[in-house]
Amino acid sequence: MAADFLAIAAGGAVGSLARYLIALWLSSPPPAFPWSTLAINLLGSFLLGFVARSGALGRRQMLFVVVGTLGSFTTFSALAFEIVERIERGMPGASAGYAAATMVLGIGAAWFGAEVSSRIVGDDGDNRC
Amino acid sequence: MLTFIAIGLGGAVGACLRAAITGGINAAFGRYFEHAVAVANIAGCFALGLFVSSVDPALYPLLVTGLCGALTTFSTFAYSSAELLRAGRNGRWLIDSILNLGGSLAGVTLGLTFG
Repeated sequence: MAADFLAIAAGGAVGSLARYLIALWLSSPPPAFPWSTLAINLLGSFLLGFVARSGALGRRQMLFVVVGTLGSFTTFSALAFEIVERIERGMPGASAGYAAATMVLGIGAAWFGAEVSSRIVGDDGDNRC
Repeated sequence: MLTFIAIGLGGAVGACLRAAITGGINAAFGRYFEHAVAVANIAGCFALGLFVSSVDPALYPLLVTGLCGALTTFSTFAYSSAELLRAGRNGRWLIDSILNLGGSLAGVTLGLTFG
């Protein structure tokens, strides 16, 4: 139990720092559209789909990689804040476009990651995270 | 350097809180509950709203980027959505999407209002 939380905590630290570094790199100077959060959420969703479907990791490795690292790398709070921020600034179009792009492309990325994984591993398993 | 430590620490705590919330909900239901992640997302979004409107920006790396960033997740929601759609459970997916997106937007807005 303690080792499980240690794996999740370590992943949470790694995933959060990776998100910060990528955001720092992609958003200086700050762009009008939150590209960095979108890129992070799409990349993380693709990787999570790939890893979760592969069935290659053991239980504790899944806790570190999927729950900890990828779970923390991607974020819903920055997404929600950026949507609300745009509504408040009178940019409903940008706000709706950003929300729709993240939802559609994000689910597509997870789906695609899982499909690629199935093709490589040849496993059509139903692993949940 | 302090920023990195703050983000790492907040991220570690946020990820553990998310795992505790989803694990606790699944245990309470006695099975895998599809909307457990939405609960963590809504809570993290409400907390982000509170922090952004009430704490010193010097604490943002710890509380916002680290804690709220890791307490909430998009990838787990996206994969769970892909799996629900693949299984033809479109209604369940729609409910989950409304809970995650609508709940998170409401959470941030309420947090900003009360903070």
